[in-house]
Amino acid sequence: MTAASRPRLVSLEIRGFRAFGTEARTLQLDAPLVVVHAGNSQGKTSLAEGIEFLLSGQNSRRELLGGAKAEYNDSLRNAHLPTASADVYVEAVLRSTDGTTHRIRRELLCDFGQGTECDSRLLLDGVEVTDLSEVGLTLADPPVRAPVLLQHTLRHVLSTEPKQRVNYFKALLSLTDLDDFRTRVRAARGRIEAEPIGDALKRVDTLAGTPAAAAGTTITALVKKSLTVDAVRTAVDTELLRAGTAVLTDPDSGGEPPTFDAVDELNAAISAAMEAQREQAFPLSSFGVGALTPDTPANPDITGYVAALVEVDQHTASLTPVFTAVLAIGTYAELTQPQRCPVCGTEDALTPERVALLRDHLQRTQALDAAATTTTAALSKARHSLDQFGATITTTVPSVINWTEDQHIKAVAALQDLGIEDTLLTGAQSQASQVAATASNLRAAVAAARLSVEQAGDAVASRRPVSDDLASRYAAINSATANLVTAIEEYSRRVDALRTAVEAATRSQITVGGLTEMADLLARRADVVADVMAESQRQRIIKRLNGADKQLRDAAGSVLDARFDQMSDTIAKWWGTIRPEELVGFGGVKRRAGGTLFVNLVASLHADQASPPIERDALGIYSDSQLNALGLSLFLARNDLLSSPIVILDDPIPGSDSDHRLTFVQNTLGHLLDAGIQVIITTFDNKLAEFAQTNYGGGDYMAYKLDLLNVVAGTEATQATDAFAQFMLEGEEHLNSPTAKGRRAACGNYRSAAERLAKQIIATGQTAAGTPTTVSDFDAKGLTLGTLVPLVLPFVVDGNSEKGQWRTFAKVLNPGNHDDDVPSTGELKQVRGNLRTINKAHQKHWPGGLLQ
Amino acid sequence: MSNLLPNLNALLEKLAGDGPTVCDARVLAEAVAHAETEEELDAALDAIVSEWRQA
Repeated sequence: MTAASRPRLVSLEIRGFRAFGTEARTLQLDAPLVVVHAGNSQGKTSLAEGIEFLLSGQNSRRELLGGAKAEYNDSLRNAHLPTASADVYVEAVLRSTDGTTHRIRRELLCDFGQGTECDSRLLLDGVEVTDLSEVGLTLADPPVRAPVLLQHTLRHVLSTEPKQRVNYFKALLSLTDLDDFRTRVRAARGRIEAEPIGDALKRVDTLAGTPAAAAGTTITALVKKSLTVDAVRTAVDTELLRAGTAVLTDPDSGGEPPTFDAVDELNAAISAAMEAQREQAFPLSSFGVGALTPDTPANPDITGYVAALVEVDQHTASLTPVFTAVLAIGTYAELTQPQRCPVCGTEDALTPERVALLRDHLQRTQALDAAATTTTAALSKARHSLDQFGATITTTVPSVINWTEDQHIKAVAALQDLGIEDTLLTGAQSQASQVAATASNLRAAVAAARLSVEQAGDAVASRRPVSDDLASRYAAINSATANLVTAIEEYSRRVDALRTAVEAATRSQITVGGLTEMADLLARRADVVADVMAESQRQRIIKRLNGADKQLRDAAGSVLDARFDQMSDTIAKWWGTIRPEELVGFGGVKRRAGGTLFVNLVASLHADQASPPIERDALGIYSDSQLNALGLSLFLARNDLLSSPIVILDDPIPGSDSDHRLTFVQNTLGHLLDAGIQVIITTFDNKLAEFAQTNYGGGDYMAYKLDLLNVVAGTEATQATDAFAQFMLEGEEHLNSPTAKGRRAACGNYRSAAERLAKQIIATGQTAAGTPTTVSDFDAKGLTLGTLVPLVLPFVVDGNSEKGQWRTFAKVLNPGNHDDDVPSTGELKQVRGNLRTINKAHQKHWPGGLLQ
Repeated sequence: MSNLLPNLNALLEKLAGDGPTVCDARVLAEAVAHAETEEELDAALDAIVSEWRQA
């Protein structure tokens, strides 16, 4: 981007922002250098902060000046603004790189409040936008986002803690993104660290203080190793077996310690030991019930047999087994001569013809035989199933049902000792009776079905019809089974309640150390393995993230060093413009001892121009004036890095630092202007303003004066090169004076304003008519208002009305110096209004406005 | 490259070497290269952590 093509602020309008009040104030800024001069508390900083607000929507004072955030509540909106007046804005016209102009407007929607940030909206040519990058105005990272150097910005980096200082530099160098990235990496690690350790693994810690403590330590240590799940499982099992031996060894017995080859074996031993311990306190084993297995027997399928039987003669069918037996004998099967019947004993009754008939009959009843065979097998299976099922029914009845009265009394007493309500016992016993009754019903149903199956078998064997009661027998089994299951479920609920209470109460009474802990761990053995794997993995990931974070930190530090080197050169360049050829110089920005948390500003001290520098911390060496120069250099270096086309400097050189005004004006401003940067300076120092005008005055320079005459209307900006406006402003100061002396002063100011305006109109009119004339031509002639009025009348733009006003000025304002006829405030206000109207009309009428 | 992390390329240039921690750092940095929001950045990091869990 060339210097000429850089964006520039053309004008600025402020209303309601800080010192700017109800009146919207406009400043024309279309020059490379604008100097705004004002005394203290006239609105200089408000103007600079207004531009900062326009560009960034923020107020860095609140971030950098210190104090509580609440102290900045309601600090942006002018305090005297009427409540109903919500129009607080800063607006500017910006000429962008392509020469087009854009209207930028920032409206304050909400001031800083209790716990709330300020809020605003930014409009670019009437369209809401989030930033101004579209028109070439980019922002730096917080806290100093806009290219506006305020006093608190200048001093912040010097006065702040070293740790905050590094953040400032990172922000200047736009390196905070790397910190943000590392923060997110650490947050990711935090999420992993926050993951809870598995409950089963935590329970391993309960082995501490038991004979199995060593095993607990070894299992916990497995998380530090990178093992496969099989290896972890083997290691956990080994330790549990070792722990089991330790727990179950009775040191007083003198016998060999028990050893276990498998976890199941250990589990059984631990369970038995637990049960034995519990049984000593309460006979829970009497409440155990077996499972109702196998599944409820199914009704055997005899439909094939029944269907086949219908197809043959009933009587003949019953003889089929006899025929089969006869033909199974070779003598009869191959008969050639009549013989005695082996069944009835009749001589010669069995003939070859009859044997042929028997064979024919058997051929026809073959299907029935096949069905009978199948059905016989099904009935045999059904018998077996019923026998098995019947056997399990007995196991479903708890032995508590057979308790004697004495056993019951002892159990109630045991519960009382354990502090458990005996209603849990009576409830369980009552339901046990219910289980026993339903089990008895089921047994009866099974026995009935067994008998029916037996009878069916006999019927099939003799090819007789089968009784049709089988289905109802099995339906009865199903019904009784459902009743028993329901009864057992209710019983189990009651016993579980009793068991839970007893186990909890007896837990503390278990005298074998580590037994309950071992039982817990064995029950969660798979979870322990899974937890060890998960924890081992979690630890490895945390370690990897830590290692990666360290690498990221070192790499970010290297990036920072490179940027610091680059920035050090730039800072030194600006330092040289302010304080050239001094023996105390700027030596660079460096990370302290290679760390990333602290930044040192280095001073280089020369004994003479040729000697090598001695380095010291700048803050400890520099004078106040040097520190100010350093702050300014830092800011301008940042501006270089950001390639900002505009820079606003609020009191950049203290009035007390007279030695460096001129170097600043000639060197520093010169460099900025040569680079095509638009510079807007606000200053208390009239010398600095004068130097600036002397060096850069002309078409490329604009000067303003700020005055806060009315705190409600707000700071007023007057173009310092506009003498008419100056006289008007001075008249304003005395306008309302109750004394004749005050009004006389106002009268003099307005007369001077009228004379100035008349000269401008005449010079502009004559120039427009082809006779080039300047205002100073009339200044040299020393013309008074009385002599100027006739000269101005040919150039009036509002006819007789304006002519009359000019004649009245001469009449009203001329006697102002007489002691006995001072105009009233009302007359002066009328004159003021007329002068403003005439000025406005002529500024508008003449192309390019009135000559200055 | 992500607007969220304008200096990521400069960072990646400094992450030279074949050590496991440098490789991990580079993997993390490359994973977030196209994240445009903090949520996307977190998700990218979590995805890498998930991959590490599977390893």
